[in-house]
Amino acid sequence: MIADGTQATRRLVLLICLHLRRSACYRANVILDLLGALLTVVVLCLFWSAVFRSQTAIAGLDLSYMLRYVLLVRLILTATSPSGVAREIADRVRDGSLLVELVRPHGLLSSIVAQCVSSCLWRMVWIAPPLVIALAILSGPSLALCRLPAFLVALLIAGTYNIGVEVLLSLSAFWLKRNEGVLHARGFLDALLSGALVPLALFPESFQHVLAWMPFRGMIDVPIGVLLGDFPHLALLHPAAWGLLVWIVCSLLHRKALHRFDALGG
Amino acid sequence: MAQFRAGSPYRILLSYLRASLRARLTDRWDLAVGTLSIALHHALGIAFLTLVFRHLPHLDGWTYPEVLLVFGAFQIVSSLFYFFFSWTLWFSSLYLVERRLDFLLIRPAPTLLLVIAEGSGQSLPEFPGALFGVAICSTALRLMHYPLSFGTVTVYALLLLAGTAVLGGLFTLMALSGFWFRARRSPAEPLMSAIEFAQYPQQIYVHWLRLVFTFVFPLAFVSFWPTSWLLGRSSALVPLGSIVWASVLWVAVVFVWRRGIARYESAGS
Repeated sequence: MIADGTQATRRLVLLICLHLRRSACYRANVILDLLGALLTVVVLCLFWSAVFRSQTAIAGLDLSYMLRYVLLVRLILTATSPSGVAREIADRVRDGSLLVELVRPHGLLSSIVAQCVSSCLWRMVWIAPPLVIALAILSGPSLALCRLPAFLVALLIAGTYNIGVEVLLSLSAFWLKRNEGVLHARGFLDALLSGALVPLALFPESFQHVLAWMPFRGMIDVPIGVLLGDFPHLALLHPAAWGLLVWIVCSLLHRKALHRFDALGG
Repeated sequence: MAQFRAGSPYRILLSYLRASLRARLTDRWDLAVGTLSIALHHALGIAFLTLVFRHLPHLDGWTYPEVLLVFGAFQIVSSLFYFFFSWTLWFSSLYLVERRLDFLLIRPAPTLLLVIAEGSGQSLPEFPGALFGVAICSTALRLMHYPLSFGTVTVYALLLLAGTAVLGGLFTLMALSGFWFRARRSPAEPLMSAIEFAQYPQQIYVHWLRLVFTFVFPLAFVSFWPTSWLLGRSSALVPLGSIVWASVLWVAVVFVWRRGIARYESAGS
């Protein structure tokens, strides 16, 4: 069993390297994605600078906090949100070309996970460095490096949860055939309820109590809170529990999904 | 044998646009999902502004309804832009690299307009975004109790159309650079993110950036200057600025298009 696990891990690592090599062929995409990410950050930083010209603090947050928040949101999204994998799988389920993936020795789940991980890793290599440098300049000595390990654990949990949801949405294509509506709805809910749009502290208090139980805050709000010292390390248990639940559902649905798949030859 | 009757080039263009739209309408589910995603995108923008203004009386002198009006105007212009000009994103790969331009060059209608007609059909889900933008603007004007007149609304609508022409001209020029620098991805792509600068009042940006967005890369004429004119916050010369920029850009587009087509070569298809 241990040997099977080692072999499965080795296959997964090989798949990730394969996808990374494929991404490296499209070098122009790197510059375009980097420019797109940085422009969005610049617009938001300028917007928040204008907001805090009118008022020195909002809901206990000041300009310095918000600028770091904007940079951290982009960094976390780059590191933990795979892009386009569920849509690609849905297209392949629809046209039957997923059959090629199913006859390979590594399995569908490994393939989807490898795509997601490589998507995050590739973007991290290019987009993370300028964001980290800007963050270091903005934070200076106030960024407590002792909280960095907890932040990295929070990132890992957020990434695990996001990849689990991406796998779940990929598997939904076996039932829905066209899952674009679900993908768009997920993007909307993630952006609004995770803290990616604005800090959750700006929401009405009653709504914040509801959000405290939902899984979305584990994606952005909790990792940032852990790094900036707003939350204790125990706050990581909540998103970890949601991540575990998502993966349990994935493993249950995976076999059922494969039974539903049909294709006309290969 | 039925005799072929050649119509005017613009009738052919209209028929082309109709055929392109009909082709897009065959997949109603896809169209509905596209419309839903645009509605959700608008809802996110409104949610962002609403949440921020819960804690803020004004943003650099702009109140919530005024900022919402700028945002709504931006949504109208950007939706029309994406409807008519999103082909600029794939012009190089589809029309030049894959030689789709060959089919259009032999048709008896202006080729650039055929490209726009074909692209519009593909981008049909973007059009409802303009209607959402109109709804946002109406809400903002109602919140301000702004007294509207037919003349004011007409001029404002024309200014927003001029803003669409400005944005379309800018990105068309960038797409046409593909005649000289052929690549799969358009150089306009990263600048699509730059359009986001136009959705907020320009006062929030530093002085030099405001000058750039007015005199170099005229994003300020997309929604900010037209809305400032409507609210009486800017000079009466603003409409002139929109028209001048739109005219200059489209004269440049025609010039560059003719030069580009003259050097275009294909191995046939």
